[in-house]
Amino acid sequence: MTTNTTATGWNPLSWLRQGVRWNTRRNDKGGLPLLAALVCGLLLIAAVFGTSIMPYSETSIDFEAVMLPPVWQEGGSSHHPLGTDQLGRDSLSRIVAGAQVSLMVAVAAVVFGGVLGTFVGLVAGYMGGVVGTLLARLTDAFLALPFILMALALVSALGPGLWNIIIVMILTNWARYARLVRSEVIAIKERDFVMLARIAGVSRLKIALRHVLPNAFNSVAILAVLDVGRAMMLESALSFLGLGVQPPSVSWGVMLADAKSFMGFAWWLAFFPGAAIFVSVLSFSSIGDWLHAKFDPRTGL
Amino acid sequence: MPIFILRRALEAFATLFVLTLVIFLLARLVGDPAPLVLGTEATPQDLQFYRHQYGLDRPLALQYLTFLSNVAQGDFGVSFRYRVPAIGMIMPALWATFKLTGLAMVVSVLIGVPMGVLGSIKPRGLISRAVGWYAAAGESIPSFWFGLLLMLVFAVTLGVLPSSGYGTWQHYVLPVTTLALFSSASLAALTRANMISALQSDFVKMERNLGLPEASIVFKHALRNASLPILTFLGLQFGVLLGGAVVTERVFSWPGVGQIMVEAIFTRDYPVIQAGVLITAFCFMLINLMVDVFATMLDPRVRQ
Repeated sequence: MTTNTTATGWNPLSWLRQGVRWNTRRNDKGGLPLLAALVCGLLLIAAVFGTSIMPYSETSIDFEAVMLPPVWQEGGSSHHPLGTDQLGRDSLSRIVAGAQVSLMVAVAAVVFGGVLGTFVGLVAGYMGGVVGTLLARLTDAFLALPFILMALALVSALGPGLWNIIIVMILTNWARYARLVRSEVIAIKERDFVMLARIAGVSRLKIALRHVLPNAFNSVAILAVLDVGRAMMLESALSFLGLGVQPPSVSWGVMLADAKSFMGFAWWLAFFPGAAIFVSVLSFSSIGDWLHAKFDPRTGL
Repeated sequence: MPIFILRRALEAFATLFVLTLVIFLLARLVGDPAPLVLGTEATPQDLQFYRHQYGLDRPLALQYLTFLSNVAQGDFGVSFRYRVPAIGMIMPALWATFKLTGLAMVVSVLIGVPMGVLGSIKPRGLISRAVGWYAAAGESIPSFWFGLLLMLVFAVTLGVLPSSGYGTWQHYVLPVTTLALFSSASLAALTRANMISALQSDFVKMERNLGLPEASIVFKHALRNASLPILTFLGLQFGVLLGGAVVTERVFSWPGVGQIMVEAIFTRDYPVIQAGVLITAFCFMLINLMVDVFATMLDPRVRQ
């Protein structure tokens, strides 16, 4: 049985992507979603080796080959399988280059946001008292606000750009981890082995780092995988608005923002980057769900 | 009940307070608005005069208190760019955004809830799986991409709907569809999950044993039980819709608050950004507070 009927209450995430999974096992527990793993693997390869594999640089302009349609359409060229844009830049190469930027921003935001949030959550949960309460309230305040408002406020101060967008995403993302870790820590610190460590005279810091934190790690890791897709979506949305990654750097959101003006006669410019976002987000979420169902069915993330 | 609501109201108030502090500090961290307002030709004396006039040379805490009392009176300052009160720019735009998000909310309830109910009746069945696909896809499709595709099909290729603008009902169709996709997907997922657990609960088993008609069990009893989380979710979903609205407004050139804020960010028009963020956040909090009140009226258990 999936986790939606466990005692943790409603949890749409746990069963959400059931239908689209191509499981290694057909029973309800579900094996690794193969297709999703394949997509994530491809994405990783594109991000790491992409710039050396792809035939064109993402910024190389070619006025001889402007606005070419994909290869299967009339006028398409086999040199540019997914067509070219208004400056003759190769769409496929730009999508591969965009994978690198999109994935890097998402992973950086998730990792640093996760570390910051884990730290805050650990302090808030373990220390309790005035500091703990204050940190918990701060976390709640960040979670209570729509993400986009926080992001707009932060971008307005920091300005757009690749690094700033990472900072914005860290600052808007940490609270989810903080809340999760805090609730985990509060539960863990009452358990017997922590009591025993305390009786044995282990210092508070050492208990927190050696005994409490590793036990909360599972849920944090799973939330992080689920979050990568979300972060890619947010990055592309902000880049689409012109507030994120700035040209000549290319991310999928930047490509879509460019494509908007050419919607009427160059559908491929918008279609492929958007499809890349869609497939990547879906894949990361289904892998996250699979991890969640397999390793940590008790927490409602 | 009043105590619960009072606590919620206090929490919302505290959140808004934190937000004003963050907004204020951000604006001050960015630096001096004087050169931005007066332009590059201003002399140092001009800049100094401006700073003194707006109290920018006073201690930070004092500035914050002034900011707070101005905000409380609805004074967010004058737009650097258009020289009109920021609140006067935000309010009409906010109304346009509300029309968009409100309609999208209605549409997503009309689509999402029935889909979730249908999907819960036979949890292993084909319909249920289809609902699962819809939910998964709807939550992973970037709204700006979906919007562009809709525009491509219905405005560019078929030419039956306008691609951008504001006014007639035709202008609403594409933006509302774009915005409603994500919410209806989440709503279908949530409704389905809650309905499945409601249909497995003891009271439903008892009703089945008593021989109540299945339709009455599903719609009258299980759905009513599943409706509370849906209601709470709708309040929070409003925030998600606001976020989606910023992007959707950009795609369809909708004159909403998102458009205004994004433009204000490009021109570093801080009063407008501050007004936009704070007023929108205030509305969001207010709506969620109303949802809480409503939920308490529906279900006394929430009070605990």
